[in-house]
Amino acid sequence: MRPLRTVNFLLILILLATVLMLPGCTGVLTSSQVKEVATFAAAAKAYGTFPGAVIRSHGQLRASQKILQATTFTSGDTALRQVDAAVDIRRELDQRATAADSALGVLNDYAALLVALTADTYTNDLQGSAEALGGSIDRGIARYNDLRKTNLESFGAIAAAGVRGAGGVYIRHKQAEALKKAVISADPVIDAMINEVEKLLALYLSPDDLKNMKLTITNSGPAPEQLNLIRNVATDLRATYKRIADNSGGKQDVEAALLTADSLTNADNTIQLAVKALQAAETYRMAHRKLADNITQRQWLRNSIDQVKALVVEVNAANKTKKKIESQ
Amino acid sequence: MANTERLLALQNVREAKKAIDEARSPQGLASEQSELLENIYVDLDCQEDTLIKEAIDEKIDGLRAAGTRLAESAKKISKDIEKLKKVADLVEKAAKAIKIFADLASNVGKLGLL
Repeated sequence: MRPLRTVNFLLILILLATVLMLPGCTGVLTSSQVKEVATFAAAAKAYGTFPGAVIRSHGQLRASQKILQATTFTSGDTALRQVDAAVDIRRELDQRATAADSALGVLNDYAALLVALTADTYTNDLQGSAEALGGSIDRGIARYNDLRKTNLESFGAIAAAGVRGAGGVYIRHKQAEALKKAVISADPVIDAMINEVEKLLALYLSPDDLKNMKLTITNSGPAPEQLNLIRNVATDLRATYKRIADNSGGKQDVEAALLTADSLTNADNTIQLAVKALQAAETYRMAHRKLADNITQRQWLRNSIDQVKALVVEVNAANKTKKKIESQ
Repeated sequence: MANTERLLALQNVREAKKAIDEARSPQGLASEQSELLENIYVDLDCQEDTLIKEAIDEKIDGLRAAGTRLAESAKKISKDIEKLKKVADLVEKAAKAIKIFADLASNVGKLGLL
């Protein structure tokens, strides 16, 4: 057998030759790149459902407000119109929430593709065939030595390592190239997508909510449309409940008070979710931008990208609020 | 509808709703008057719904348009993934070819031809 040091030296030579022969200077996919892309993808997957959750919750709030309002009407026909309108608005806003979920589903698809692009499967498959090759060569040499009474050194291990190493390096290089191309070309599209998400979420908030947030859409171009939709419903809920209480002569049903209290809590949570989802959208944009910037550098991701870590924290926080709303 | 126009329209509708609600308050309104005011309130509330739905629809349309562009990028990535699979397959085929060669060499040795 060859001394281990010689085998290692040959292996290094083969790998070095492979790397030197690779066109361009993209290098190979590193484990830190794989880890960072996976972290980004996991946070991206959870993000897509937040805008839909805000729309759905707003629909529920408007429906509750209409039902409460219907109880103040003296005409049965008009009360019924209002109850029908409550059913309609809930259904119609649910449909829009589903449309937003579906439109944002492409963010999930994109994230999943990045994970697929950086997967180990291509090189793992190679491991099996390279080991089989190494074993086959070793057996052949052993048979030959046995039959011919010779003492030829086996080169199975080095051949297997060579195929595994050179093939693996080549594939990892191709993966790095494809990842670079994918993230860089998607970056302006992600930017446009996040702009639209922010515009949608801004509808639910007031200028005061957005004042202290450093959003790209408020820094450049006209301010996004802010209709303060959640607080408007909360105002209507309070006014309607007050009317019910005023007209009850001290004998109001507890259901109206409970529905109002639950709805106002839900309104607060929905505002929080919209704010957190907006912050997370901005971090999403920055995290992807940083991923695109760093991917072009030779020595990147020595440490984890701060923006990706921040995205995970913000998405987790928004997810907690979303679950609070859904449990009500 | 422009952003400011919609905001103004929404504010007008909400102010009108508030005024109607206040007009419903005095006791002793004739039932026809109450029904009329309640119907106007429901109409205004539906108008508010329409303005809200229009605003959301515009933003979702923007999302869809951006999403279509991202879906195109995703398609290109899928193609790259297919290419990677092909490269992995090619390397595997090369390894198999070397294995066949090694088997052949071993058999040649067994037959004493070397």
